[in-house]
Amino acid sequence: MTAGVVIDVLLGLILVGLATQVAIGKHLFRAIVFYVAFGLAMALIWARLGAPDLALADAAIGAGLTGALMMVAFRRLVEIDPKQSQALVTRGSALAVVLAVLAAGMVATIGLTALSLERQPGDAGLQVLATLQETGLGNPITGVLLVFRGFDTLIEMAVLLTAFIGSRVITTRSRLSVTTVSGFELPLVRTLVAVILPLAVLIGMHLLWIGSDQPGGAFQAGSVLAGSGVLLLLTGTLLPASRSRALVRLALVAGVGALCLLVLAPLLQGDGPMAYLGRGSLLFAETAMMVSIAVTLTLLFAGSPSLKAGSS
Amino acid sequence: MTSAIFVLVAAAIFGLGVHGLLVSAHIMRKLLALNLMLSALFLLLIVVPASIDGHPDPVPQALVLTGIVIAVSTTAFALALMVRLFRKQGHATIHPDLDPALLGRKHGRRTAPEAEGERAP
Repeated sequence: MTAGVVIDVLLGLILVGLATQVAIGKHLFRAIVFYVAFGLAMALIWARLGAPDLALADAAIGAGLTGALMMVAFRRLVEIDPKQSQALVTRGSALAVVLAVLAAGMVATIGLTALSLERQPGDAGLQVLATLQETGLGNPITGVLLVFRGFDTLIEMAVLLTAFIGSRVITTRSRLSVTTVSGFELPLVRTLVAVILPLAVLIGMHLLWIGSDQPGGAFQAGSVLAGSGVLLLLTGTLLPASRSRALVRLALVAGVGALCLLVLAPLLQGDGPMAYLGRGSLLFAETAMMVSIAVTLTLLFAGSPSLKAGSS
Repeated sequence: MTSAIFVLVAAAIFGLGVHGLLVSAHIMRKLLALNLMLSALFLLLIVVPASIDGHPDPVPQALVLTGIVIAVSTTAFALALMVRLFRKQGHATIHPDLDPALLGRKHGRRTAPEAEGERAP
């Protein structure tokens, strides 16, 4: 056995072990914490498989923000009714085990059968790499997301916006609260934020800027910035506000708007819709998407339509 | 070899997700299980297609990247729905023993209002 196989098996075992804790661990809160660890292990596996874009995205979104959203939702349940929030009615059932084993067997069979067939690189992937030179981009994934399958990305931004609007519609106005750590008088928190925040903004901008040529891009940058937004909310530097502001609304629709512009702008030049306009247009769209993603995810965490500066 | 190992890992995680989804009544645990199943699917999508120049095929990579963002959007919406449901009915579980409507159907004699009374403190 080579070292590579050992690493693969170890990573696989870690991932399955964490998934076990998430799926059938005793306490809900522990399951959420393990889910965050699961996301990080997943990011390691993406890196191992040679997909750094996915590693960045999964570390920031899959582990970080999904975990933060789950925890804040759990916190809201505890605030409403501490007793019922943890009520875990799990009933061990033989049928569920059988079904789970069958499902796992199905996935394994499909995957292993597909692997045993003679595998050729997909035509679409080869075409992307062959035509990438013409677009002047260096990162094939950014190429797929914004040039070859830009329409998917437009719909994706629309889904994010719709999810936000949906959450606003069903969230009651009664209380706006995010539990902050400022109440605990932790002396080092502010210093830590002062160090981490500029770094996070720098990393976000860097990911956005290099995204055209290297691993990175609007999603990763946006989620890193959203992470800083969550940090600011937790320390009470930003607070949820109940009145929506025009600027915030603009930020929420910026991504969808910029991608729509990218679809329509070529019509002015007499090209078909969605024709490629060059790197500058992509940077414009990516910046707008980054702002939208960061603001939307931060507001989803805050559970409020807007934000305001904290008192201290 | 690497691919085969990770296909098996994906299968195991998918199975765990299915089990968690079926067994647990708490909606948040169901959401966690669904997210596990999604991750298993993403892993399969990347591992199965042949790699090009030592890197996974860029098209499925872009698909998965889109999928990750869609997953966090839908999870956030589902969590908001869960909090609302909890506020309204006092528990965030889907379980026949706690749902008055299902309870009435399951045990014909016990009516829905009684179940309501049992649950309220």
